[in-house]
Amino acid sequence: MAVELAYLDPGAGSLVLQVVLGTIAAGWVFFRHLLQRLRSIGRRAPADPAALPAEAGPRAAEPRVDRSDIDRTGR
Amino acid sequence: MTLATTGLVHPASFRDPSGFVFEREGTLYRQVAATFAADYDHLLASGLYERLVGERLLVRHEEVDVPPARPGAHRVLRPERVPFVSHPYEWSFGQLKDAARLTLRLQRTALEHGMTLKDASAYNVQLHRGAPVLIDTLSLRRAEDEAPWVAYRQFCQHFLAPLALMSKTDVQLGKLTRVFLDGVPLELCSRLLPWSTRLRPGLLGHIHAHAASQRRHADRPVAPGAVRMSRRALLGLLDSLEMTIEGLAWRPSGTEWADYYQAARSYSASALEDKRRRVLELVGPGPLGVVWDLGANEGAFSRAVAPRADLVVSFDIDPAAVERSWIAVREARDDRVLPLLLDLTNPSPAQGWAHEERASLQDRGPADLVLALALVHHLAIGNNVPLERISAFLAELGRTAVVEFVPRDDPMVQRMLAGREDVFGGYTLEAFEAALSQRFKIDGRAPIEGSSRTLLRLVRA
Repeated sequence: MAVELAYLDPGAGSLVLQVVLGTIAAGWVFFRHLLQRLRSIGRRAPADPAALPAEAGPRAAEPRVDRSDIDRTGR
Repeated sequence: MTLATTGLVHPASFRDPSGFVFEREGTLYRQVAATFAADYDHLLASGLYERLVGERLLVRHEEVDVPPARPGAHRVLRPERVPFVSHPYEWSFGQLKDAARLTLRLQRTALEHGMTLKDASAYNVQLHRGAPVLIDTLSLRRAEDEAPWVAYRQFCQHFLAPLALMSKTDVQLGKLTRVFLDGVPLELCSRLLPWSTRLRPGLLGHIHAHAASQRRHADRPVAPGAVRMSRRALLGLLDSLEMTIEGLAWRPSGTEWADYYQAARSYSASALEDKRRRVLELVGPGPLGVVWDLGANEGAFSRAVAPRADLVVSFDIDPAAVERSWIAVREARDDRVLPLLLDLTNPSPAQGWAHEERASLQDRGPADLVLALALVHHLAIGNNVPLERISAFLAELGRTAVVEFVPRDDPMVQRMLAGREDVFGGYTLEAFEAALSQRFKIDGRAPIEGSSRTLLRLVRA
């Protein structure tokens, strides 16, 4: 897209500074999000599996499959 | 106002080439310039207009088939009219903060629809039906890819700087917005803020570093398009501004007038109830139209008459009283009371370009009804304004009025006279009525039980 000029003077110092501040703020949000993800991964493997809530993950709610039948039918 | 081809162009509507506001036969219109057609059409086609109007963030308009005021029109719009246009220097801390929140929310919502706010003037916001709303539909244009926010500097000057000064230095510094119509210069704000504000990341970045960056680049222009910014960074900037604004607070207490009202109760509970009843009798059943309540304090009488009025503009000199009144308006979702800051001894003047851009208090009147309850003694004795001048001023402001006269033997007047020479021998009810009679017909009188005060109902002669 062609660059359109603003009818107001945006201020050279303001334009430059907002890129710096915006990048810092976005970086802060990104790292905070990353930290939260890492913490949540840490919480997924507790020492006592019984402490997991029933809806803690899709695997916990999956019904057990008797794989011996599969083996016998060859499917 | 400037005479256009067929209509009067609003005197404040000349900076933005996207269009302008004009008035014809008492109706307000906004002309959209042909050069802005693609942006205006995108506003509608993207669904942004409907969303903003639905969320009460933008004033509603309708496209009308009337001749434009000047050649080169894409559309003519008829926007919903705001019954009283207030200026940011008449807003309390909370009102300015709410307007700042609105502006950031508008920018965030606009980005979701591929648009952006091309300006962030506090004058584009009005307090309407109990909440701030954007009145300038043409502030929204299509966003360029990776472009920074061109209105960032204006947002910081119009909103962040005065809020920071009011919160961190002194609430009275909000009055700087009356001097600096394009917002408080960041260099000045940086110098007025306490050093400790440099320890707050938001204020350090958006005020102190911003002022330094402006200084540094004052003689180094940046070529258009040379500064690019990712969408993630732009949203980060908005996050940061929102957090900074939310971190600014001011508690409405401790001002001279807040203490005055709390320390000196003028009425017993029964006398106050009698005053309320008599005021309602004198104003009549309505509809009252637009009412100006002068010296309204926290707006108790504004709220009493509001059900009979279209709008009650509730003026007071005290920032704490106006702030409390605004909080009450927001909590009650009261859409008929508009609290505003006003010093009647130095009311908002006509100012801006050619003294026409920002209308004076008188220019925004006259009101259908003026309430001046427990006010005259502050003007006559507290500020030595002659009774004749008070009468003349009231006649300029309103077509009708209900005025309370507080006599010399009243404890509040005695308190004002204590410790100063009494040069107010002429301050009597008879002299006041004589002064009023030059401008008004006095068509109602009511003493307030349990006090020596009198209410007068006036109709402009």
